Order: sequence, then structure tokens, then C-alpha cells
Amino acid sequence: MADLQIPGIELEYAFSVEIFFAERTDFVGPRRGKGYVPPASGTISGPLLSGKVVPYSGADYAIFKDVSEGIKVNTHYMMQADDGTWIYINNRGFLHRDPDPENPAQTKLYFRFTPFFEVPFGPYEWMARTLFIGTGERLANPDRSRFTYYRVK
Amino acid sequence: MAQPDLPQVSLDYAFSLRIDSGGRIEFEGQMRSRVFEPAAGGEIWGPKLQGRVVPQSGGDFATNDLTEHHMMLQASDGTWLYMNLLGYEHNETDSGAPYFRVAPYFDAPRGPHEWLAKTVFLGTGERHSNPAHTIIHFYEVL
Repeated sequence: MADLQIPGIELEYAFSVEIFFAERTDFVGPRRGKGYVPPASGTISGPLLSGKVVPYSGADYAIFKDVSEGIKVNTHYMMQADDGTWIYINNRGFLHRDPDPENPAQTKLYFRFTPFFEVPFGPYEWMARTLFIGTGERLANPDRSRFTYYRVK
Repeated sequence: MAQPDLPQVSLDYAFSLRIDSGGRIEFEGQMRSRVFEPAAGGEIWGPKLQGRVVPQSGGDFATNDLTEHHMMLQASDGTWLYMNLLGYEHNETDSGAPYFRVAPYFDAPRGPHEWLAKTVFLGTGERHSNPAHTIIHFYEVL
């Protein structure tokens, strides 16, 4: 897609992360519902970063009240760039299904988030000073998730 | 750059927020520098939300260049809203003027404003003086 431009904001495609998640666990406790879904593996590709997701280095520790109403995404895990740089990601956002106004019989997935990174000094330190927004999709054959990140300029 | 296979992301202007600064406290903490700027008050305007910042309900608890606001808002229909906003203040910019790029998260009761608590927003803002305040424009990430 053409990079989106509205006055004062520019979104630049940064990278995509494809993740194979392990089986989901969730429970409801006295305070709230908690989900746990660790990444079993993943790859990162795009113009600003390529590398891999470190398997089982964290999880999506989602928060919810009633899982059927959707979840608040709260993901913590480690990534590693092709040059070996370690990158910590904390992804916050929402995943829910909404009525589709254009097609009343169907629902639409809303899966959007804002990642915050911690990165060592070096070629990727700009990631720790940059706001990103992301959009997520579920892909089939094989079953996996894809996250597409845009840098906010 | 053309990336035809990428999912589309679009932004829709939602509302703007003026936060009046109630001063500034700063100190060098154990691991990072810490700044607190209480919110003395403020106003919300725009197509999707109107209201006010509840005076003395919080402020910006910033560390290094990471800005983190916690505060209460009140919509013009009286609904209470909580805002937690996280982002960056960019001080070394090409134009010389510092600016904010932020991601706010809201909590809201069931009712007409609950979509705020289920939606990702992008915010862009800048500081103004005389008197000191910050204006942030929020865009719904569709």
C-alpha cells in the first residue's frame, strides 16, 4: 500500500512478524481473566528489521473479562535481529470481533496494537525511541498469525 | 513504497485534548530521570468526544523521553473516563520544534463511550507556552 499521509503524520511500513503460537491457555480469576499464548517460533522480515522471534521467550499475557467479548493484548517476548541484536517487545492493543456494517451476517476482526521496544545502543536503538502501530491477522495453512508494523513519523 | 500484499491501516481523526500544565517536578532516579507534570485541567473537542480533563486527577509521569500520562477525563454527558497514554517526546527534530507521538489507552463504563476502551489510537502533539499546555490530536486506528 502507499504509505498513509494525513497532516503531520506519516506511516511507513517497517516490518512483518509471522508467528506460530503454541496452544492457548486461559482462565478467569478473582481479579480478571488471563490468557497465555507463547510463541513457538517466528520470523521477522521487512525493510527496517529482519530476524526471528526467540521461541518460548515470553507470551501474550492477554487480559479479559469475558473472552467472548474480546481481549486486551499484552505481549512480552524477545526477538533477535539478523546481526544478533536482542530486542524486547511489549505489544499492547485489542483483539475483538465486531459486527460488519457492510455485511450484517458477518463479523469483522479488530486486531490493532502499539508495540514498545527495548533495544541495546547500536543500529536498532531508534526502535526504542519510535512509536509504531500494528495490525494483526490470523492466517491458515499452516495456522499462524501475522503482525504488520508501521513506523509513525 | 508499494506493498500490495500488506494489510491496510487507516486513521480517522477522533478528537483533540488540551492538557494544562500544573508545574514540573524532576529528579534523577535510580535508573533514569523522572519528570512529573500534573494536569491542572484541560479540554476535549472533536467529532467523537467532547469534555474536559479533570483538574488535579493525574498528569505525565515521564521517564527519560518516555512520556506516560495517567489521568481522569469527563465527557460532556458526565461519563468518567480514565486515560493511560504512553509515547515519546522527540526533542532533537529537523524543524527544531519538539513533538509527541503517543498511544493512549482508555477505560470507560458500558455505554456510549465504551468503544474508547476497545480501540487503538495514535496521538500526535506538541507543547505550547503562555500558559504552558500540551495539545494532542487523536486518530482512531481503523
